[in-house]
Amino acid sequence: MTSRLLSWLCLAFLTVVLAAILLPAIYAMAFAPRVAPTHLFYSAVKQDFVYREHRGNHDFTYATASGEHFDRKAFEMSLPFIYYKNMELWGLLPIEIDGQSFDMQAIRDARQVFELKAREVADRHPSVPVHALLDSDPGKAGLSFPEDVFRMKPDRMEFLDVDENRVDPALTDRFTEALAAERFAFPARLVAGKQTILKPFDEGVFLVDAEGAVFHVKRVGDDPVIVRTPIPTDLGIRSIKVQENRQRIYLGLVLTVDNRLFLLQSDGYGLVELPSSGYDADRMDYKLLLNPVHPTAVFGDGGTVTAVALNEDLLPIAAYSRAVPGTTGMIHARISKLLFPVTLSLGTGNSGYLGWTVSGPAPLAFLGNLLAVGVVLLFGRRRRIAPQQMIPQLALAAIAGLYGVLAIALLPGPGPATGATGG
Amino acid sequence: MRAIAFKEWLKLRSWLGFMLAAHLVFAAWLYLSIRHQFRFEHAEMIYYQANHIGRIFYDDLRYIPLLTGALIGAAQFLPELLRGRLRLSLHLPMGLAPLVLAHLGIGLEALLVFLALDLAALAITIGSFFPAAFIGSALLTAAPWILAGIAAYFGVALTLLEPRRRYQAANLALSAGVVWLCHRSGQYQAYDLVLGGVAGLVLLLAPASLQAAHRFRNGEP
Amino acid sequence: MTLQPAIEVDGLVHHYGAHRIHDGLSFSVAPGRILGLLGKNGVGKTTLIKILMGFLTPDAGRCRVLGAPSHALPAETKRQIGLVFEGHLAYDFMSIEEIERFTAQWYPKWRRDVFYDLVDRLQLPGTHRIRNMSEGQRSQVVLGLVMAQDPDLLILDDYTMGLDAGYRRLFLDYLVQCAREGNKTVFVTSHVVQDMERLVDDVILIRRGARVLQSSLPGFLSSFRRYELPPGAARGALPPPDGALHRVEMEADGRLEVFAFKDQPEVEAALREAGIDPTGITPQQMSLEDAFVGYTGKY
Repeated sequence: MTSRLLSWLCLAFLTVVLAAILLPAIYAMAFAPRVAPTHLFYSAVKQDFVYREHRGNHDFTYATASGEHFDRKAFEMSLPFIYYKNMELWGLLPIEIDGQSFDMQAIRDARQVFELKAREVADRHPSVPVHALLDSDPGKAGLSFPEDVFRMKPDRMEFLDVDENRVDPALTDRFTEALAAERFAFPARLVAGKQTILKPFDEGVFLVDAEGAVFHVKRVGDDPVIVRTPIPTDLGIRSIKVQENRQRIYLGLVLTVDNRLFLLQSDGYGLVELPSSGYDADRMDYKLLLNPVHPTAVFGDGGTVTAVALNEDLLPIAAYSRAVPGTTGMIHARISKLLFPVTLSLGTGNSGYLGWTVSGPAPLAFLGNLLAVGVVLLFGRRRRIAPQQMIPQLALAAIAGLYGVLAIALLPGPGPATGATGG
Repeated sequence: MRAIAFKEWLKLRSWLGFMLAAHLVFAAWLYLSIRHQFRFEHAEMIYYQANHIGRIFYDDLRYIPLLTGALIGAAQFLPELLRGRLRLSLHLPMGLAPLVLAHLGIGLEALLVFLALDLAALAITIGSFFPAAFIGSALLTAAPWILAGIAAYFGVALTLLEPRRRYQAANLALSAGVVWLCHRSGQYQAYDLVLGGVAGLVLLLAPASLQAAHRFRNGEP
Repeated sequence: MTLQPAIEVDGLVHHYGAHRIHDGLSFSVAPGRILGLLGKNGVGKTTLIKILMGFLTPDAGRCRVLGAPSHALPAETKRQIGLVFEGHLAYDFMSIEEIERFTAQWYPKWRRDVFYDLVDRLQLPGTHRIRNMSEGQRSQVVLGLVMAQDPDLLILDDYTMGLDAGYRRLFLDYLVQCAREGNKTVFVTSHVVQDMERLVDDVILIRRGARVLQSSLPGFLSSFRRYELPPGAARGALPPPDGALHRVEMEADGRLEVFAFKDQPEVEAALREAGIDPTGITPQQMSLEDAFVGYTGKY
């Protein structure tokens, strides 16, 4: 009797979980319009924030924060540092802003973009802790992967010969000793580098040691070049994104555990703090657009987007946030809330790992669940089953609404079907 | 219990032999295919592809556990169900629950042996060509595939033991859903944070087999 | 010596959906008796056998086998019951030796000699697989298994199916001999009613919508009679069945067949009452099969 209930509960739970994943997904696939994310920038031309907003079905809005609406071309013209190629085509370059003239080449030379997506944060995606240390002075055009890789062991930086898949003791000793000479405290907490040869030059890797000190490790030939940086050990570094830009002014971005973000300068490893009020590295993508004038930081998730305009010293001069319209409020979304008490998903979202996300319940779901209980009662009545004999089913419908009704309809019930006596 | 094991062994031995051969052939294939890659490409490029591009060199393994689980389930329960032969087992002087659990336990054990074999082949192959850190990564990547194999086994058992068509269909759909949950990502180690939850869902398929057998025995509509 | 009936069915009710198969079926079988369940297709023979074997839980009523509820038999009771399924089901992936080894483990009273006594007659090697046997050979193995189990009660569901006359006779003779020697209770159904005459002590006849008839075989054969009337005896409609006469049927050539649990004078009186002239009435010999058809009707 109890085993019957247990079996039913197990399968009913499974049905509800699968239905909560699949039904809303299928519903959305059938009815939800595609909605593009909001683009928000600071326009040096308008001296105001401008945005492009999408409400589905080719319904785009281009406007400034202060309410001026315009068309797409005007929108692009207000952002000459982003749409400079179009500007050139339209014959609008060079353009004069703040008394300075910018042609295509000047824009190109000055522009740098640094980006840290949520899924790029060191602990938000899987990676195998085996790294390549490129020769940063290869003496030829183009970079190439070395025929060894390294991994950080509890007491050493160990190099492996990739052809043999064996430890290279000489290289291991050389680098481990060089680190020791710079007072590196094993084990390493973080290894960060841009593991590609598709970049203009190589800046090696940054290692954070057990005490929080940051080391810049490069390789010239088979020799280590190691710098113990002056970055404070108590900064609480969570992630470093190395980005070798042709301008060689900045080495990349440094994220701390308390969601502060810094630009790492090439010169002396200085840190420039970027605006991060309202920024959450676990949910949001961060983009820093280093324009010739008015660099802008933009960050946001599916719900809001924030832009902060900066001066040439990268200090904030203005900020603006906007809610992303998305699909909430559309008819299909309201029906969805009534039908589906909760929506479950097993997806990667903005992480490299799959995760469970539960959304809801919306207030409307209460109504949907009540309806589900009614359906179950009606069903019981037609089969002449007293409500007190359907307590598990009614509870399921009350909790899981439509999903519960589905489970009740699909599965053999939790109670016995017959009333024979043994004797 | 030993008698049941004897019976299952007699029933499954030719299948198990066939599957063992198939798994060994697969293990050899896996090893040779990766060795082939290393002979034709630079190892450092392969590491780069594996780690940073996310290419899964052992992707051929993905559906092997699923097939194995389904096959063992079918080989074990189809002969019992054809012409209602399960009645023979149900009349053995033994309780229904221990009987069903013994069958499931034996089938699961056989399945786990094959899955362990697959994982061992994977670990040995990866360990032969890649640094050790890749072994753990490969095993974690294969973990949801393994779970899919177990889900397939439970699902086939549950579906075959159920006497009624419409519930058979529901059981099959639920099992397929769980298997689908185990193959939601083609990225390596994507399941690291949800393995426990997915394993829990897989295990939820198990107790219902008992119920299905109950319903079979009671001849329930 | 009888403490409790081997089988006891009391007020059994079972439906399939809205279709009522059994409605208050009651009977009991005393230990040591060999009983044949007879009935036409569709009257619930299979349902009853399924319930007795424990593969169907009745909707209502009691059904006890060796004192235990049939749908929840404890292991100890199962050990005392031997089942032979329709089509002689067996683990056909096993060989003769393997199935003996397997089955022996379950039954403390296992009689290996009984099994091989029966199976050796097939002159097959011990490694011969059951799936490669003919239906007749398999029936022999199944009978050997159930006899070696040495149960107190045997339930056989249509053991004749698929057997030719030779194997049927072999099966039957062995079954009767073993049952008598071991004082076993046997509950059996068969399509071949004539076999029952050699086998059973008692019969249970079930008809749709009627009470079950349980009787000893000689009792049934001596009390249930058949009479024949020449063509032209009946001018009007035939009387309905289950009146004073059990059944009156017109043959193809116009003769009347009268079945009744009555002596000739009583039958003649009843015929007259029904407007049928009993002149020329003659009592007829009947086999069990004739009696079965007469009792249950052709249609």
